[in-house]
Amino acid sequence: MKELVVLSGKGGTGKTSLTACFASLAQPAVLADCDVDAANLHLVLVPEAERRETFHAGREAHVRSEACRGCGRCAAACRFDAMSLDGPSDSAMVDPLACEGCGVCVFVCPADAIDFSERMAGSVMTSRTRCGAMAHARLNPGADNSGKLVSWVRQQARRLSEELGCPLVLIDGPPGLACPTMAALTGCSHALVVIEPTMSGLHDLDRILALTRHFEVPTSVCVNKWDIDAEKSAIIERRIRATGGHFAGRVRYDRGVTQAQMRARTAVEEGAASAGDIRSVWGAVAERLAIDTVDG
Amino acid sequence: MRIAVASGKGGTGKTSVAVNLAVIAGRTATLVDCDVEEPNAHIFLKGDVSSTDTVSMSVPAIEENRCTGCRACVEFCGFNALISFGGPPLFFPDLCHGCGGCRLVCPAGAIVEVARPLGEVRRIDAGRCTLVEGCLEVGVSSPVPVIKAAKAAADGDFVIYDAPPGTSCPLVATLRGADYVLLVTEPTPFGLSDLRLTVEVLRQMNMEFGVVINRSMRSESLIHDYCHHEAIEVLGEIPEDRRIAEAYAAGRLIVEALPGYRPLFRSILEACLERVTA
Amino acid sequence: MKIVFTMQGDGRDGLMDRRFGRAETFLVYNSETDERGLVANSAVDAAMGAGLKAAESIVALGAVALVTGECGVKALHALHRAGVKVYSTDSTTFADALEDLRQGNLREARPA
Ligand code: SF4
Ligand code: SF4
Repeated sequence: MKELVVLSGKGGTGKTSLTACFASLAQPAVLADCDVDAANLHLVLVPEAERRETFHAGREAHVRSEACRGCGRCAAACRFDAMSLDGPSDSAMVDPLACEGCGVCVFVCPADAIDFSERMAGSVMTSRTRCGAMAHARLNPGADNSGKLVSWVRQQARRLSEELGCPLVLIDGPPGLACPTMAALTGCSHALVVIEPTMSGLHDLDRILALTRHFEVPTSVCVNKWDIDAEKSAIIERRIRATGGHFAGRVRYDRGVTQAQMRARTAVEEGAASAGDIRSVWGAVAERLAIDTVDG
Repeated sequence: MRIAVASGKGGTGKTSVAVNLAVIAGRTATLVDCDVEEPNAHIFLKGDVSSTDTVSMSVPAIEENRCTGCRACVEFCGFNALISFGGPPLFFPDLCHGCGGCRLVCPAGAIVEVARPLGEVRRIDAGRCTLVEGCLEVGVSSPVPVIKAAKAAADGDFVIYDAPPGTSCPLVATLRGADYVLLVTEPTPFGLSDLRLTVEVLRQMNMEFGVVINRSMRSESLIHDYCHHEAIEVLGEIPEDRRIAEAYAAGRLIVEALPGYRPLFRSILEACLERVTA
Repeated sequence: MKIVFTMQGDGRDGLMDRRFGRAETFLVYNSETDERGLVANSAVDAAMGAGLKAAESIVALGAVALVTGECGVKALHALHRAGVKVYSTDSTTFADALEDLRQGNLREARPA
């Protein structure tokens, strides 16, 4: 079984739209939506949930108001300004959006009035879609994506791929370079970086390539909306080739991608203007995936 | 007056709206780039750095000669920043939230606190307005203190916060204290889905807010329908225009590369001001 | 000497997990007696720092070496400090990984 992760520096580069297209081209594949903060893959692939579980991450303080004496030690000790005594009641109040779950208030409270329970962070699901099985999650507002959650989604996807005898897991990775991205990348057979030919795209490219190199994951790069700035696209392509990297191709700026999205379909399914470009990028990446197995 | 410009995900043109509004507001405006993990307002607002301040956080340091190896600190730390193999614990600063709990619980008084640099806050005189930029050091995973420091460094009367993407702690830290929030979205199902999530957070925080639709297509009523249904005001629409994408790619301001758009940004700005003073 | 291997699921299938901190089970192999025991990894559920918590357990188990797919930099550093050797393997089964270890075919991972 192989795992391909699709990454981008910032969000909004068309990473999810492309991943959805690959899902329709790669069948059979199992999908893993690890971009949990802006989980959008489900909007195109319309999964029917088969299993759903609640997901806990970290802890959260709760004041039992009947036990609180209003001494204010918790508020003085909390470094995240999450505890206040100026609410309507005489007891301390936790701001759940500010609480980082450290437990200092629990430790300093002389009345033992603070509970410290697991925080409900969202739900995790496995589903069926027209392009294959899918593992995904939904976060509660204000909750953070985390390495734990990404690992969970990947693990479910791997389990599905074994059950279904499906050779490929396609991962829609989180944006940025922090913990969730590392959890999505580690141990993958291949990474595809989707980049736009903009100033910030150029800036992100080096950082994300440094990360995939660090994790020793073979990486391909494709440029999305290349014709917005042909010159920068050429710079990116040259830079990738010069460093011995794999350039998987260019995808044109295409409003058909959005129009397909409106109909909850992929650009490839709708035969949008960019469908040919996307097919050829997929072809190049699929070829690499096969090569990687022979080597590995 | 403090206005935050936010969006659920990246890539909706949020930074673009924030910088263009700041330039329209003029010399006395300050833009604070709170996307400290990937600050990029400076691409559009170039200028000389007039001051740089280091932002740090208190983290534990263990005095090994006093430590009895009791593990009290290790058991306390919910973030796994301290581990122990029997002797004095090892400390992993990347995981530390700086809560100070380990020092409180140590029965041997073996923990002191030291400052760990997390990043910088830079003031840039961009001519057309002032830019305050928070920048997280690579490899540091706690953006919130840098965001707070960047916000505190903006002293002008009119301040715009360019919020980080997502709906978690960094966004919440940016929005706190803002008088009004401008949500930038796109008329696509992805845009709408992210908008909904952000609206949930804003409602939880009791904030005043309105929506700007970017890359708007006249034929598409997705966002309008949602806003109408939720009684959210749409303050403006920036049309889908390839020239805007090209200006952005080149690192140019819309109001300078395409002056025809100045009235639009002015009207969005004025609408925000009206909502705040109303 | 005790050597820990990271295993998928409850470890009974003998399949290695490439991950260290988030592997569900540790197989503790005693090289003198050839005994094997299975221990659940309590770090699986950590939101952050799973590798470090797992490193703590490895040391608490009295292991001198760890055999896994990949070990994060922080955990590697911690295990190095604790004197535990870390070997990376591409093998999918415990049997293959053990054989490679015996033949001296495994690469020792060291902190940079
Ligand atoms: S300050 Fe808090 S987060 Fe940091 S090591 Fe101590 S207990 Fe852990
Ligand atoms: S609580 Fe204090 S004495 Fe105990 S292990 Fe931690 S530093 Fe050492």
